[in-house]
Amino acid sequence: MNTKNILSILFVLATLAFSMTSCVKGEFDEPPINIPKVTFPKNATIAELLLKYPGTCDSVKDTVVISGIVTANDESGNLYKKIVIQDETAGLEIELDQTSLYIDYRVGQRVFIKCQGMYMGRYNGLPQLGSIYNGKIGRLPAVYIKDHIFNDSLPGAAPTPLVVTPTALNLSMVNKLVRLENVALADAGLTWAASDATTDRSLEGGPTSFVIRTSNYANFAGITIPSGNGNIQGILSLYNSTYQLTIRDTNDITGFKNVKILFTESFETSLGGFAGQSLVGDQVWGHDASFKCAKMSGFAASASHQNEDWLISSAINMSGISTGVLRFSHAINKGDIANVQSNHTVWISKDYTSGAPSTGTWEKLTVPTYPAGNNWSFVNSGEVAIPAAYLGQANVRIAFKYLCSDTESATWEIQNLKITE
Amino acid sequence: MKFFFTLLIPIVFLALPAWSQLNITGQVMDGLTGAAVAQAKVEAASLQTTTGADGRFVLPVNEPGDYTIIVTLDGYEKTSVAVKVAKGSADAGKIMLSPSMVQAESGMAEITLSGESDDKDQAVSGLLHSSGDVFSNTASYTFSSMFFRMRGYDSEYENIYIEGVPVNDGESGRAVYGEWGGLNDAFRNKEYLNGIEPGKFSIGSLGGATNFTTRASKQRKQTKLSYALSNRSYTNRLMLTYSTGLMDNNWAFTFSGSRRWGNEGYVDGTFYDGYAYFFGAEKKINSRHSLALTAYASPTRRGMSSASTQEVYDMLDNNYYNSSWGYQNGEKRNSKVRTSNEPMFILSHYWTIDEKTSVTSSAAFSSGKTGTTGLNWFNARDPRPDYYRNLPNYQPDYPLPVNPFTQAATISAWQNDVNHSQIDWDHLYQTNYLSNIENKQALYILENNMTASQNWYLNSRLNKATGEHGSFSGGIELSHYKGSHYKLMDDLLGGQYWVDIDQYSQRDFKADTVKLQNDLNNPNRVIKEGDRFGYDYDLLSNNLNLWALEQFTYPKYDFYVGASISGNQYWREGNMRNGRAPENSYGKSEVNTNMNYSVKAGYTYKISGRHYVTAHAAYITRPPLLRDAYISPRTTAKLTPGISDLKIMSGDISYVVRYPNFNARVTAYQTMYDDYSELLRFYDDDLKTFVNMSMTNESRTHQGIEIGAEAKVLPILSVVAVVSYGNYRYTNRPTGTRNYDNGSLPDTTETIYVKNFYVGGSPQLASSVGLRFNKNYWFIDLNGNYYDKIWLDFNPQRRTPKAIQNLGPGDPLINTLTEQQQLDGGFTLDLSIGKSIRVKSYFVNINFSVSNLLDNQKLTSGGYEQNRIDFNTAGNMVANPNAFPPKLYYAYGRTYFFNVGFRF
Repeated sequence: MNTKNILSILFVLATLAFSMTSCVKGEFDEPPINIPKVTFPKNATIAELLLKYPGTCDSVKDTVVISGIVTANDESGNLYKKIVIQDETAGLEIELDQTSLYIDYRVGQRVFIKCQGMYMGRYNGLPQLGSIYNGKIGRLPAVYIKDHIFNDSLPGAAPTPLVVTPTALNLSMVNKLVRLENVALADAGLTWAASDATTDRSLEGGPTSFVIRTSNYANFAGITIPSGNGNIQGILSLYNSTYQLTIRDTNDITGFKNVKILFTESFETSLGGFAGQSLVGDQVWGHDASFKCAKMSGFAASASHQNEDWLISSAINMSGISTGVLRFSHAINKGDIANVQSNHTVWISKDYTSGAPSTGTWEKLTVPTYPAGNNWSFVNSGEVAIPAAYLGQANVRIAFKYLCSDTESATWEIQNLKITE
Repeated sequence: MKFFFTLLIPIVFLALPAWSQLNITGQVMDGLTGAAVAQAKVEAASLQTTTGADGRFVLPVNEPGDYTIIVTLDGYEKTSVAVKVAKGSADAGKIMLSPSMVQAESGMAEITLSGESDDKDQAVSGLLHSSGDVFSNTASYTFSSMFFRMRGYDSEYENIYIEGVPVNDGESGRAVYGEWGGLNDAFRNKEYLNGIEPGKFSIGSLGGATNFTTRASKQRKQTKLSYALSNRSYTNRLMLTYSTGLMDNNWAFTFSGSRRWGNEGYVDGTFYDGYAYFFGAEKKINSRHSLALTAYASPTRRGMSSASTQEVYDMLDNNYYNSSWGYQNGEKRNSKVRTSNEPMFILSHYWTIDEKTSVTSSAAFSSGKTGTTGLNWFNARDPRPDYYRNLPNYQPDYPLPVNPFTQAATISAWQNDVNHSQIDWDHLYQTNYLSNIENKQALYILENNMTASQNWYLNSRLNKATGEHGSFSGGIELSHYKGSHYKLMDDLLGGQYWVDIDQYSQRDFKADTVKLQNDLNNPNRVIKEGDRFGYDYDLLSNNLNLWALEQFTYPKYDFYVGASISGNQYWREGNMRNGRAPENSYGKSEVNTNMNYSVKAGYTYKISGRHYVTAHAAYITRPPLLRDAYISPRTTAKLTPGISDLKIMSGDISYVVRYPNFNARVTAYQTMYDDYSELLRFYDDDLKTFVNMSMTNESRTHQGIEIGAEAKVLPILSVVAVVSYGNYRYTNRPTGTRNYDNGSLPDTTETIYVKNFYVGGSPQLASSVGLRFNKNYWFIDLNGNYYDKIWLDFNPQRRTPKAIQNLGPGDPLINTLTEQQQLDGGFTLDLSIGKSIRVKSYFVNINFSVSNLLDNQKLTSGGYEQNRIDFNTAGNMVANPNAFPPKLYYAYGRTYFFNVGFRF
């Protein structure tokens, strides 16, 4: 064997040696699950904290440590930059300047909060723990969160909701997880929130001091509110004298009937399937882009003009349908309050096809709720039952009939129309 | 163009009667071993040839006079010899080459093989050139650390051939040098065309062309082992090459393999693990036919770095901060890992029909995968540590814009808590573990963005001497490309599953169960590790290129005319039906067909054997790059609005001087682009969607001067000076089209106000002065380099009427928003020391080089503006134009490369 061969072998061996032994890290072990443990005790209940700092924005100067279970977070998007905790005494909203808080603070997570250095305050009556922003109670900056909020053990079960009735709410229930049983929702068929704004929905026959408030950023905002009776739970919140229920996700809504939508017209972008028929006067039904509604008024050039105008839907197929409910929102203003109900009526037909309303047979429907007639607030019509004669028919029409005289004329605005089973 | 042809026609007719043939002959030898050196490039005046297996060459020169012969080959010092040609042949005798490892083995060029961003990674032109031209040498080695691009061209304007196979990427058009990284020995034989000049193997391109000769019979017969130690991309490199040369049985073989590896490169968290293999076999069937096989691959896996803002760099006092890694279980893990492996097989046939005619043909196939991993998340916080909300300057307060206390606390967290300044992997796992408890999907994952490509090539070219003065080259190039793009679930990070819906659409279309689907054919699919998801589509093309070139050589003049014509078809095939484009995403799209052409002409006037003037001109049209053809290929087969064929007009003129002790070239060039297209893709944090922004109908002008000079002032000392001074500008207002990936808004078209802006990404001024000592096989190179005229790549959104809406005339915010940012220039010093030793029949080469000896860490090598503007809450006026500052890359500080090689 000559030297060349020996060297060749050595080279090959050297290569193998280098290649085999010099590993570059490629695989990583999964880290073990971390079960957090808090080693310091709490020294106050939430109720004690609330009592000690009753103002709208107080600096917590004492070494107060509270503990509670997370009852709500921002997972669904209905809450933003906040979590809600409660202990056996009370609930509390924690304002934190951080998104996706739920990844650290799941519902059922026990947390300890070192309150010293934070601010305790009231936002329109609602107790909040956070920091100061522009002189008012605000969010704790993200960088400080780890210094104040400590998880203890893995998330467990959330506290059992407190069963309440909407007419018997009090301040001690605020920020707690509450449950309303056997209630009906006034806006069944509508979505939980409008597409561009946080929206209040109410209970059927419920007190005006109670709303179900849903953010348009909630991932269930576009889901239809169910009908019938059922149970609804969430965090009870407060805005001055109005109680607000914040649903955490759709699991908080149980026992209702899901609503089948037969016909819908939001009037958001146009008159949609509706068309106007002007019998008297120059003014006609039109679409209002800024208020997103159908609109009619006999007032023009600083004077009232006599009008009769119909706004008639396209054909609604109700074949094979045994129940039907019409709902819409409307606002009436500027006219004579005495004529609110007589000049603004809703009609139904099963034989109208086109042209003048008189070419078809019409029956007047009873609208449960009218606006006061002296402001621009939209009110829900309530449930307008579709009479049995029209159920099972394929060519059902809904019409809005507007009347006014030369001496007085109202403006009628209509939006969010829905016919549900 | 017209002007040029008018100039040429009389020249053709005035062609002088032929002189009797004059030749310069000689033999090139290795000064250390005394062995003949094959494949060395020999140049005299504007002519060139390569040495045969016996080291001999014959260079026909046509006219008596004084010539300077320049001999170059990778691994040797460039050698010049003076020759006087009178009558008949002049013999230059034995030309002894002195081995050098300074350039080829300095590892300098390898920086660029592992550059930081996706783009930079492949965008370096002129890599590994070695030619007699001092400008090209310096530009490709010394300037590469600054991502210098010759004449400001992107690398898609440089054509790379391997044994005649055009290997530029089928979508980006770029030369992907990494595909043969680590195979320096096997890829050392090459022919290089500068700028627009044509050659025997190709009509050339705009930014040069290179043909690697890898056939085994042309490889130097040797066994070579080398080991390198460095602190750049990798720590170790081991390379072994064995070449038989053409053996008595008419076979030749080459084997080469290497490994490059390191746990951490110059930048924190960047590991490197690359292997490379090469096999070449050639059989000389008879004196007319040879058949060769070349197969190679360079499977590589490495951790990438990422650019950050100056705010972050300053806070950490580290311009090389890398946000892509973090600790997992106490070990550094990089989230951006690139793997690539694209084996290539080339079968070549060399046919010498007669002494004047040869045909070279090749069939080739390559198939491989490239992937880059990245974090993705669902309904969770952005895990990247330098996400703008995690920075000290984003700490909102009122009435102050920034809260000083939280700002200070954030800086402290950045400086003291590595889980704050780097990715907190353990937290990502913990988050997924908590989701598991609720049986919910993983919230953080590591996905792999894959491109699987297949290339089929068929090429043939004919080279024929036509008459006494002419030489014809022409060929046909056929290729088929298929690039499959999809995401793979790389790591669920402890989570149980992922659901294949688009979270950005989910946010915008809450109740729309169609739009949020990535694949309507498989809605709400549950994804596990290894599954494809997100998007899955193929881009395909068929290409045909015919070219022909006639070169004429006369005693006083050389000139050429050439033309090419190409046909191109491309289409998209969707493998998923995307919910945002259900009718235009699944299946085969319409096929688009293009016809393009190019014409070239050039002229050389030989003042004497040592002085000549040469000029080139070209008009080229090109189809849109496949990469830019579809505005949002992940979701739809919709074509980029307004995209069209690119038109390029280019010309240059050079003055060349060649004396044995002095050679120089001065070139002035100008190139005009029309209908240039660019496509940007970025995440819009306000709209919570990816946005595709195209710029079409764009015009650019690249003009400048190149100077390279080398003087041998002492027998042992040469001085080299190189300057590239350019002026690369946008010359019109392109059309911008914005397309929203989640379909939340319709496409919008707007004018981009960037006329007279500078083309970013490469220093427009690069210069170098070098001293080269060479004595007793000791080599010392010292280069001082200065770079300037560096501009940031701009964000087109900032230069639209929308960006400055509602700002009054003369509002200073307008300037802040729209002005292009110039980056600081700077100086670097490079030093290389080498020594070659002979021990009996073994040769040892040792080389040690230090780049940026003075450790200048303030030299920005490039960067980009963030594609985001901070608007007021109403969204109709800019609030803070500096809210999203540019992200910057810095050229490495002091790095070293030590190499020792044994050869016998």
